Amino acid sequence: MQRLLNQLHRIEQGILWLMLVALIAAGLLQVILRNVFDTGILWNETLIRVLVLWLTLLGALCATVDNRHIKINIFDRLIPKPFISHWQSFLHLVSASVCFLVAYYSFGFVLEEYSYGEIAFGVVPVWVTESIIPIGFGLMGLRFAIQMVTCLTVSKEVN
Amino acid sequence: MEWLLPVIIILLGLSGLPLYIVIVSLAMWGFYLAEIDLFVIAIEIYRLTDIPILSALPLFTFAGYLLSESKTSERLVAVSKALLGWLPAGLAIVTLLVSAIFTAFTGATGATIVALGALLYPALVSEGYRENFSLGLVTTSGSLGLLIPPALPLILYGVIAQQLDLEIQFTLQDLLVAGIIPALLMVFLLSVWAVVSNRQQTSQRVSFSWQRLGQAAKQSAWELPLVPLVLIGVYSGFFTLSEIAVISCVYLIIVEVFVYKEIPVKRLTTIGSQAMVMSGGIMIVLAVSLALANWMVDQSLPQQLFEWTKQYVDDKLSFLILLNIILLVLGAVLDIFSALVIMVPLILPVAASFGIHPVHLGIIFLANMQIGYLTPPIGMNLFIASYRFGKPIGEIFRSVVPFILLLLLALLMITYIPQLSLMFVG
Amino acid sequence: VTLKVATISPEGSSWMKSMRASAKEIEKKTEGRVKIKFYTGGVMGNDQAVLKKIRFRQLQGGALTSSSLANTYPDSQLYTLPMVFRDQEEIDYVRAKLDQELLQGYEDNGFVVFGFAGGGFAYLMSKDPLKTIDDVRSHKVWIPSNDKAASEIVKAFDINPIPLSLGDVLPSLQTGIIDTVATSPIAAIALQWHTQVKYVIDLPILYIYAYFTVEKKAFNKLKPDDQKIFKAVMTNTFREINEKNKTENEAAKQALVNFGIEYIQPADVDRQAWYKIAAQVGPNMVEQGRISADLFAKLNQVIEEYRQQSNQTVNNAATTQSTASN
Ligand code: NA
Ligand code: NA
Repeated sequence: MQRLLNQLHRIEQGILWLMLVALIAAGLLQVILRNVFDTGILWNETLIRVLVLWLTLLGALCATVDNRHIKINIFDRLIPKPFISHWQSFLHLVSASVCFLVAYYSFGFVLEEYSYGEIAFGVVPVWVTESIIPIGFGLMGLRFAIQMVTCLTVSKEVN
Repeated sequence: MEWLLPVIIILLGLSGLPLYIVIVSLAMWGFYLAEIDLFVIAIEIYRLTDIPILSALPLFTFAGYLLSESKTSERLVAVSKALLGWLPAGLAIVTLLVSAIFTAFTGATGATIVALGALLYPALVSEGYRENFSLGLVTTSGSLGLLIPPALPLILYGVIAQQLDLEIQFTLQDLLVAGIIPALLMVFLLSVWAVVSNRQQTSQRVSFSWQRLGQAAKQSAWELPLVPLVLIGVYSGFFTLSEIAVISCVYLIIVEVFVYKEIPVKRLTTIGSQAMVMSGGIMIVLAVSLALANWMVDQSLPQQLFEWTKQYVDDKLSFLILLNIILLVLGAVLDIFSALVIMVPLILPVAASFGIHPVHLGIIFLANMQIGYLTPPIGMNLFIASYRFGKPIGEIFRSVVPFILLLLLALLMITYIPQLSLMFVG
Repeated sequence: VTLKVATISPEGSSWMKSMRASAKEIEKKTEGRVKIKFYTGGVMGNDQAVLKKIRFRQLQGGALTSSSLANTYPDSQLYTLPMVFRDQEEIDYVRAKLDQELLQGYEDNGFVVFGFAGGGFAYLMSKDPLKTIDDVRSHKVWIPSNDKAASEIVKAFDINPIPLSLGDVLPSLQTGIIDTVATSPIAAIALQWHTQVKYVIDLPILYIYAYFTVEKKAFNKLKPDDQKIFKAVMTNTFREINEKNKTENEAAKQALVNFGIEYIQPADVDRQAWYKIAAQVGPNMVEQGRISADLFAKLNQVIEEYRQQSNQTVNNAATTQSTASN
């Protein structure tokens, strides 16, 4: 199970890197076309913006795995030491539920957009560019759920 | 229930629940109460694609990572030492200037303290500067440069502000130019303090030598052009900000990987995905806060806040005083990105109704947040310096107190002399 | 009932003043049963975001521009075909005959529309005195990223455009990233682009208009009487805005001259060359099924009718004159 998850994380990181390369390439193409050839590709700007959206969700997903999300820790020092991992797993539970809720509603959203059939750029329909929202939040929910279980097992071992 | 749930969510948020989870659940609860379909969350997140300059954010983050992963900081220090080392308190001034530039590029993410502080703190002490002065200096310098382009918080403020319906329009260019004089003011005040407080100290004032400057400049000949490239690019408007970001990335990859060979090609993947994790963490908060801001607008919250404020405050000056107090308190407990995404959509319309220019407000906001990096309980610079130099937080905080006071003086000037920020606007 | 509607026009603009006045009138006449809440200045996003929010019921309506609903109702692109209209009189004549059918079309596709407010024509404006299509092809032309009508035009004329977002246009004109834009005189002045161009090709490229729409399902929830009141007030408002815009367009065209901008008159040969290429766009779209053949034929027929009439008037005038001189 853990090996599978590590594999998944490596794939996520790989995609993240590829997206960054694509973003730089698309941006560079735009700079060169505009400055050297005085022209541009109509959908390039849209592609760049969609790439930024994908980078956002995939980056956030990897931040979930690495536990690197922006947090505000003021009161968490008040929690007694023995309960810290219980508290952590409770927070993970909340995060997981919220992520699944967002994934659920954005999945419904993408389904409706699918039936609407608008085109984002080139031959890529809008719903494909939007699909990263339910995918991203779904996977984040999954990661939080796993971290919740991990925290619980750790606290059991400590006790 | 209507109020209980948000209160619980916020309490959880203050106890370590990820910020974007806090914001998205508040937004969903708000939309649910307003009987608006929760699909709207996805629409709002997708609105990230409506923001034209957003690609600059991940790209500059990557550029900043490339800079911190190579020995740029050493070369930058060598050049500025050769350039300014002959001044009284020369090394202290070098610290301030180099940190400001480095922070502008790496976005005050602690990289400045980790990379530059570690280099300059021992150097300062060995040159005879007092230990607590040196400690305070490198800790403070870590967030100097927040107002200099291409600092991410500055760009982020512009992005958020331009999503709002304000009577006074401004361009991103206006905002980027506006921060320069206030930033220089801070560097100047701190430099004066460095000279004054070290006048008894008999540090080695190196005499100026063209040869040393030439050598240092030659060493970093490949990186130095980046600073004028970005500054001229931004101010001349010849490139758009996103284009400058792309050019910086490509240029830095070539320089650090193939010219200086300090970053192996293999490590690029790791650095790249680390940078994307960092910018993804920021942009996901931005994305969900678009949804929360939309709910605030839907419920006419800024208008209500304005009406409420008007009961207690009725002129611009007292509003500015109140604003500074609120922002300083916020800066003490929130980090800069959280403060930006949560507070700007609320505060900016109110400030605009009091006749405060959105560019001026942005500079005030960031100047406050810069002080927030140094104030407990949440002071990023304090944490990082404590970790990096192995000193207790209390000692670090005592060392930055005089610096905080000077930054407060700068803040007062920035707040009450709008011309400092608006000199080149319009 | 409160209808929530969005517009990209900022608070305080003349458009918003008219809209607020009619909202007040509707509220009064329906004795408070129908209220309109406005979200101004694009706080709900651009046309596409607003349409999504209408589909997902956060909003009930919005102010949209030209061909924003092309996906839902393809025939709504009829008036935005390039260079079909020669001048304002022609579009007035056509709209008097065809508006009703288009409004019905919108309604059949789920959107109640109360009339169109013309925003004048878009012209090519440049730093250089352009005349021919080749002149334009050799320049750095801006078009909005992902705009359907605009991309049809550049495709037809084989122009290599530089796509930029709206906010980047002014600085890009200043620094020479682009040197030619297509926009209406009113927009050029509002966006300050007029400070950066010197010449306008006096050749209307594209008819621009805006309209206000309420989603049909939401509209049907109003009582029938209230629906009538709503329709009457809004239709009237749009008639007024449309008329007022015509004067403002003329004023803006004149203002450009006062700013020292020169209108270039292309030679007849060049003018015909422009028209000839533009004339292919409509039939192509009909062939690809993107616009209905029926409606397109009707458009051509009405235009033909108008041109014959005005030719007759001209001829008659000429005859009268020659008779008089005799
Ligand atoms: Na914008
Ligand atoms: Na703080």
